[in-house]
Amino acid sequence: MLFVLNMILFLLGLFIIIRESNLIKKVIGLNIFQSSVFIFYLIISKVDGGVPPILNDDQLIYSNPLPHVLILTAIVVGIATTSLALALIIKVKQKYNSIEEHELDKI
Amino acid sequence: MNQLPVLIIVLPLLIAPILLLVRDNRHVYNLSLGVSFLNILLILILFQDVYQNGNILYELGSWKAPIGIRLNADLLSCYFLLLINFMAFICLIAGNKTIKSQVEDDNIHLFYIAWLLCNVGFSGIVLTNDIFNLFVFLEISSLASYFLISQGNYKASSLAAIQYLFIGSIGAVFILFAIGILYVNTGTLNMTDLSNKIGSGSISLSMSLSIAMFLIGVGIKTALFPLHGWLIRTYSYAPSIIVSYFSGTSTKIGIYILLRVFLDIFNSINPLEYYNLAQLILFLSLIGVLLSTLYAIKQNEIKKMLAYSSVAQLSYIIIAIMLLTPDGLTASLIHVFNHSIIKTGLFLVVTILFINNKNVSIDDFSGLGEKYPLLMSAFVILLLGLIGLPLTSGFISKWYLISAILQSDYWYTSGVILITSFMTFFYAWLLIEKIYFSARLNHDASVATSYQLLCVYFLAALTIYLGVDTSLTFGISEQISNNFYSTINQ
Repeated sequence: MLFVLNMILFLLGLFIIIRESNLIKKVIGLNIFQSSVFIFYLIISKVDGGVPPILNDDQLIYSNPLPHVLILTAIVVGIATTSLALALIIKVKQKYNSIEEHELDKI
Repeated sequence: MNQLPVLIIVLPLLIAPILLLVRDNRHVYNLSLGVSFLNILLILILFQDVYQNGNILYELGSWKAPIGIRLNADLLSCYFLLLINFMAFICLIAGNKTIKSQVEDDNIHLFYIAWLLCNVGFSGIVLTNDIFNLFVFLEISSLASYFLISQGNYKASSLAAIQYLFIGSIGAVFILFAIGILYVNTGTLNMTDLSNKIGSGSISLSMSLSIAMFLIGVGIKTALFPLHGWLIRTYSYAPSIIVSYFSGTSTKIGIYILLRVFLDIFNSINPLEYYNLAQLILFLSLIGVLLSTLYAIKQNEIKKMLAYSSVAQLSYIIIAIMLLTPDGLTASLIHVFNHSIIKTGLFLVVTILFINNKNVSIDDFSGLGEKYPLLMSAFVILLLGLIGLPLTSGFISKWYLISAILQSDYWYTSGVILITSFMTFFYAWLLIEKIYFSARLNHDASVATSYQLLCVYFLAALTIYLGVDTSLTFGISEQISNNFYSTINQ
């Protein structure tokens, strides 16, 4: 069930990037698209009945910490991409005075 | 000796933030040139060592392999590593003057820093043995390249950069998803470990999803035929020196990832054969060669013409890989090297001749043969290499490509290769005719410095040298492809 919801989020993000013509909305779509993959990594790391992986005498079952670490890296990459995209959009706005892609293609 | 793989990555990575403090454009340039030169020396030593003694493994922080990140320098890595860093060095030497006039003064030191980071990303992708690490390096190089492209002095540069950012990020996220699925299935991220654990036999549904996502992600990076649109836009609006640099490196990195993922990690299940994917990609690439060569003839703007020609040449490389024979892989590796040298050389000539012209058309070459006899003869040698006439390196790669095709099941596709080679001759001839047989126009083609000229002459000489003595390209490519296919057939 979770995977299906996750795939819906994935396709929704991809759809927004392709379909939207406003560049800011495209960046939002890109973020949704990336987040769906982050959530996928969190889903696969969950172990039934597992607790956070902190050394503890009572609990022996814990969730897999590795995907969390991987996704921390990927989140940092995502932030860098978003901020670079926003900076480039400012440049585009200064040059064309528009951020609607269908208008930009005409100029 | 064993520290070399990590030094090649860490050295420029350490220098880059220091350059941010230096700020002075001239010092920044000298330092980055120095780092590139040092890197090439290190790579040559590494290459020599790997060639004689086999793989060099380096465990980062001494964490043992399946848990820690490991660098693996094998012959394939060294081959691409040498190519990429050599191109970066040549373009840095030739680019200094162009960068000064095309990039805004305040951004020049940032430009060199991004250049170094981009190169770190490329070297990292090639050297790493950890598949998540490959994704991180891919993003480092991509982020740097979005910035580099946006620095062009065209109005549309930022727009081209942001459109490339969207497409590149989609590709990267597909690769990230594919890595996640691989991790679920095998519980490891180490490439050697992955290829052992995937095992032979049937392919599960989730695994085939992972394969499909890898294919889309890598296809975007290599400009595989229906996904090639970004390449044309980017090449038309990026600073011209960046186009010379990327034409030899960025798409070749895509080819490397394709080889690494499909022939190394998945070698035991061989998905390209299992799903007839190879056949599909082969025919897509054939259409790609035909269409992009036709478009190249139609273009009047030289950068666009060379960009379409790049798509066609990349399709040749992919066709050769998709034959799935050792000969095909050898041919593709030879063509990777030769095409990088030829295309970088051609773009460099355009870069240094037309610093101030924004849209260089074919007519701008009219009568330049009289004005710059030596430079233009180098340009013509490179063009002949692109067509694949004898005595140039292009002939060698076409020869091996066609003989590999004739020995495979797809022998009838060799007709398309011959026809497109002839069509390449057609658009190259348009240029040659303009250079030597047209009246001179009053164009202010800028005066090139001797360093820039030396770079072009060197690349042209290399084109002829690699067309006569094939021991470097053919010898090493053959050894790499034998290594690959001997493990597959086991």
